[in-house]
Amino acid sequence: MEKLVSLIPLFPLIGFLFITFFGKNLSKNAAGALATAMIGISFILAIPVFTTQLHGAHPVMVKVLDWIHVGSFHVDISFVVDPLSTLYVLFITGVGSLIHLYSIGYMHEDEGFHRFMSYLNLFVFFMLLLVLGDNLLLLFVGWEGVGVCSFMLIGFWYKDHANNDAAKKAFVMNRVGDLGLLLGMALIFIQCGSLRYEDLFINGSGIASLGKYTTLAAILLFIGAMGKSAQFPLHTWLPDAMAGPTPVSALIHAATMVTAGIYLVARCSDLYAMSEIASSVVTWAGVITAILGASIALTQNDIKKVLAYSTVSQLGFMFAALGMGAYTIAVFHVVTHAFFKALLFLGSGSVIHAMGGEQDIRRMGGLKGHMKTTYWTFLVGTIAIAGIFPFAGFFSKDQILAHALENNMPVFILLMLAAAGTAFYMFRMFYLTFHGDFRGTHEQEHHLHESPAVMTLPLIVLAIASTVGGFMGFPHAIGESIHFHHWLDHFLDGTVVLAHSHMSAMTEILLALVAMAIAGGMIYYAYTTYIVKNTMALEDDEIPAGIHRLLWRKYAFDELYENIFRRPVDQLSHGIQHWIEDKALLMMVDGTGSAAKGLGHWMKGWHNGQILTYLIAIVVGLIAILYFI
Amino acid sequence: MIALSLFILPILAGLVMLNSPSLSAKRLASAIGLVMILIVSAAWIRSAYGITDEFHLSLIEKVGFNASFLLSGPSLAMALLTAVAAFLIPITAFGKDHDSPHRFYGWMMVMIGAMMGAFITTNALFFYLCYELSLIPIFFMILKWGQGEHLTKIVTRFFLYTLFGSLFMLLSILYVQSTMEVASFEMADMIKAANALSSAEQGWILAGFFIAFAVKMPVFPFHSWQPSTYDHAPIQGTMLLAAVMLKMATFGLAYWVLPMVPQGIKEHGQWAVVLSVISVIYASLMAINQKRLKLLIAYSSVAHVGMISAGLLSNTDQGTVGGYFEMFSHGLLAIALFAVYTIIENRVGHDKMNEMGGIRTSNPTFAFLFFILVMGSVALPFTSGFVGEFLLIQGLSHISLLWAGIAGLSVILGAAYMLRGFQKMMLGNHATPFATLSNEELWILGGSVVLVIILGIYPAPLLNLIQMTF
Amino acid sequence: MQVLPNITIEHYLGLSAVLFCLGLFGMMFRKNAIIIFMCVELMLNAVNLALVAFSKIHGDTDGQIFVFFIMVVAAAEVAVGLAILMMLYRNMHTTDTDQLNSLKG
Repeated sequence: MEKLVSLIPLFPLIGFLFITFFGKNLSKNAAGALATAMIGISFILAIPVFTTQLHGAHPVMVKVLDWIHVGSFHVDISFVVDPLSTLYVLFITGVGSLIHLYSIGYMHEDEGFHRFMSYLNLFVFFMLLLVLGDNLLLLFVGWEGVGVCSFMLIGFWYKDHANNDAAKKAFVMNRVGDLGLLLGMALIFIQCGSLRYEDLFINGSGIASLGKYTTLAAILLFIGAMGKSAQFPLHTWLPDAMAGPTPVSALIHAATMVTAGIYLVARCSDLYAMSEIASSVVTWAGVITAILGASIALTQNDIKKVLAYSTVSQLGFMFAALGMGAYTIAVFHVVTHAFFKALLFLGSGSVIHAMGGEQDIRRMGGLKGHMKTTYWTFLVGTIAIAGIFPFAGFFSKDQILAHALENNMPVFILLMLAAAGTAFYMFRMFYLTFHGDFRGTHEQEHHLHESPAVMTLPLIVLAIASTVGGFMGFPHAIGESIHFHHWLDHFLDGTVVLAHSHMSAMTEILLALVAMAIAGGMIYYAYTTYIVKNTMALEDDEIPAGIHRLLWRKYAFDELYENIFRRPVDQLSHGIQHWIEDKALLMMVDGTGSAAKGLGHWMKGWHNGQILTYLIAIVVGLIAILYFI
Repeated sequence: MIALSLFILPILAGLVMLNSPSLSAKRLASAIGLVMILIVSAAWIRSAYGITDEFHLSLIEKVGFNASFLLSGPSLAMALLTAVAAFLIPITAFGKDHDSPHRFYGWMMVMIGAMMGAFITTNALFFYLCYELSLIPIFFMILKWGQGEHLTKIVTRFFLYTLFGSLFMLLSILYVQSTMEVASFEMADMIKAANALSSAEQGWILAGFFIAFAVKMPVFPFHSWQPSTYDHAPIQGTMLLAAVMLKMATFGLAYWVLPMVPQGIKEHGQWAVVLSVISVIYASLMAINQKRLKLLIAYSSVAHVGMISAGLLSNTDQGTVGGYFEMFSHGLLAIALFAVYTIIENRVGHDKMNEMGGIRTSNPTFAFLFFILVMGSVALPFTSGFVGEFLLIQGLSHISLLWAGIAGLSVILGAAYMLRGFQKMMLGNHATPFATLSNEELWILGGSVVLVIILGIYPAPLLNLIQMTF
Repeated sequence: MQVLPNITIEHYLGLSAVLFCLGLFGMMFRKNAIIIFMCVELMLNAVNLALVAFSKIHGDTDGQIFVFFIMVVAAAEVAVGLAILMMLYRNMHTTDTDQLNSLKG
């Protein structure tokens, strides 16, 4: 059964190759159907593989091809089948096929439809490599591969250089992280002699031979995770990445690729469990990012930017959990987040589709009446992310908070703040978009319509998943008393280090109630502000100076990086070109030539044709020779 | 005999071509390249059965100057690269022809032969001879078929600079020889003699070799001949320089210097690593502000070669094998990228990146192929560039993780400058008209793209070949 | 009995050195090519003197054979040298070495 696993990434690859080389002959519907079917097949193949793991099969390595064998360095293209990888495969292909389906409707009018579908397929291929690889290097292959696909898809509408700049920024910032990952791998190989999970984590612990380099290795790997998962201070590319088509934002920049960082840390949980320093770095990077993302999202008016910062913030939650040792809970949040964030992005895509490309929520309003399905599913997503029982986000977020409460009070308070902010900004966006009066042009109002079934169907499926998805991670404390165990914890046991919780059921319930009360309060506050008082989000030039403007300007990180990295590098480059390359080095080389020439000129002066001079030279020479003999 | 034929065939062919204007030189050169590929493949297959091809002929017995060839693993890999270059480069003329092509391709074949000799010989003096001999043909090629102002000055600078640099190598070779009791320049003897020296002496020998190679590779601060030479040389000459000629230096470092002075590298070789690492960063920084495609490729080539040099100097399995692999991969990519340049130059008439745009709209196939080559150049996994660079960085981290990190900055900077160039030329709204690719162009680009990807996904055959002597 | 005080090798060599230096300085500081020419002869003869003196002291004839060689060479040199000077004078109308500087680099 496990042998099937090597076929799982194959189908998306076939889809990519087929559409790229023979796509011209296919109609748009056929190409879209083909691409979706390929992911669908992978999903179907993943189910039996997943079930074997569900029934407690041992992890299996499936080798496909010899790859790099140099001296003591052995890495193959080989897949690992274990709970963590199969879980990821399942939700990647599951959510992926839904988003492919949605794209058929969303991208239908686009001239680059075939290209889009083939890129999406390629992306899923690399994403599957990332999670299926049985060693860090193959993970890195997928890691960079999804980075390139992300580059191609962010800059999908390549005629506008703004999109291309965003794509380039994403790729380059990701590479900052990739360098960390690369060095981390180098260090691990030098110390442990292998990059295979089997040698490092599963059979005994090869990772223990890292010794004093444990913390360094963990932090280097985390730098990689920071880049890919948009953690502070490498978070600025993700909001810009919204320049890509909305399905891309849903698939890559919300559900799958950006959670690769969590996968990496969870995969290496043995390593992080050994280093307290690295773990607290992870925690605090996560907490800062959670607060940062949530606070910026409060003031954004672009529907996709709000969701993007919300993603940044949620990723922060996940890393905070990872840092506190709650690896399974982070993975849990990855899965629930994939459901509701994909849902929200697809919903926003549906809105943008209806609005004819408008993304500013100040130009929307009152869409409730025009698009019922989108409205209701979007509401489900919004409630889920706000953390209201029994929607998916409640369970995962609540457990992160519980874990923080138990381990680290400051982290708990900050995460609570971020969670409160989340409830507010999500409902602010929700009310501004769907309630009130329509504020767009007449033309747009006339054009408003519900999206076609290919687009609403994925919304409905994801809405269902967002509603019930949380039950796979029912809290221990409560679960034990009602015989409903934390299924995910058991499933991942053995692959990922488990967190130990001693929290009583009472505390757990109390915390849940408090968290919900705060979320409810924030929702009510948003309701009074935007529905009862009918306040409007401010126009760009009306935003007052001070904290509001700072938030609106995203803490000016872009400007900061522009000033401390990009511009100095450019200036340095020009300076070097001007002073060293064109002047100093040429002077050095041509100077050597001129020196030889000058010496010749000087010597030439001696040969003046006067016998006297020659004779003196002869005599002086003779005397010198006699003297030295 | 197989080994000898690899050296003699191109040289003889070149000499014949130089004197027979009536031949269709371009086709002939390419055909000989193909024959050489076949010969190398035959040797490769034979080596798989444990037969090593050797050839030995004493030229000046008293000094130990012999024409001795040995097709070991690394030699075969480089010989394959040279043969592939001989096969591909004439095709990249793309229908355009030089004045008196028989001379151009005649010189080219002589140069190919000389470089081939340097790759397969096991006699230090013969290596030196071939190393220098290859300069003469390229000198004439640039002088006669080059373009631009101050051509003579630039060619002279290039010629004298590299010639001057090699003298230090000769000094090192002669010094090692002088410590021997027998008159021999054979590799085995050289290694034995050099290994017996103290580490300080080995350090000096390394210095002599490294300065010679640093000029040729080139490594900062000895690279100042390179951009202007690449720029003014005829594009096929540039390909020869970048794809094969500079590999003689990196190859010399890996094949000769590493086994000869391991102790010297370990204890007195830090400065060479530092120079190489600086070179990587420096060249990347230079590449960032280039306005012209040809110079962009030229500087990125310096960065890659610096990486090779740094990785090799780690003197680890990964560094050495990665170095050979990257030499091969970089040779392939250099030919392909300069072919991209030729295609653009032929159509647009210049290579100023700022004055182009939107070529992806006018010719998506070309943009697609170019993109994969760019990805190969920035060492994306599953391209040949990655296997090489990863192993090099891995090797370099054995010396110091910090230096590996600094050299690794080129991963970031490389992405920045290559993508910037790609974006300016290929993307954007304003679409520069761009005719469809001819069959020749499509085959060259498509072929190299396929090779780059195959070597990235299944590098095992080449890696095994390189490690044959290990 | 001795007419003169003891003439030792030092005397010969001293005379030889003086003659040589006369020739050398004459050669260096005179401008006329013929004078320079004669100075060269003077230096050759100084050497001859030294050689003969050594020959006498050591009691073998090698030195004298050298002297004969030198005299022959000098004669040949005079023939060739004077001919060159003649031609120089005919062409340049001078034997002043300051004027004869066409060897200048």
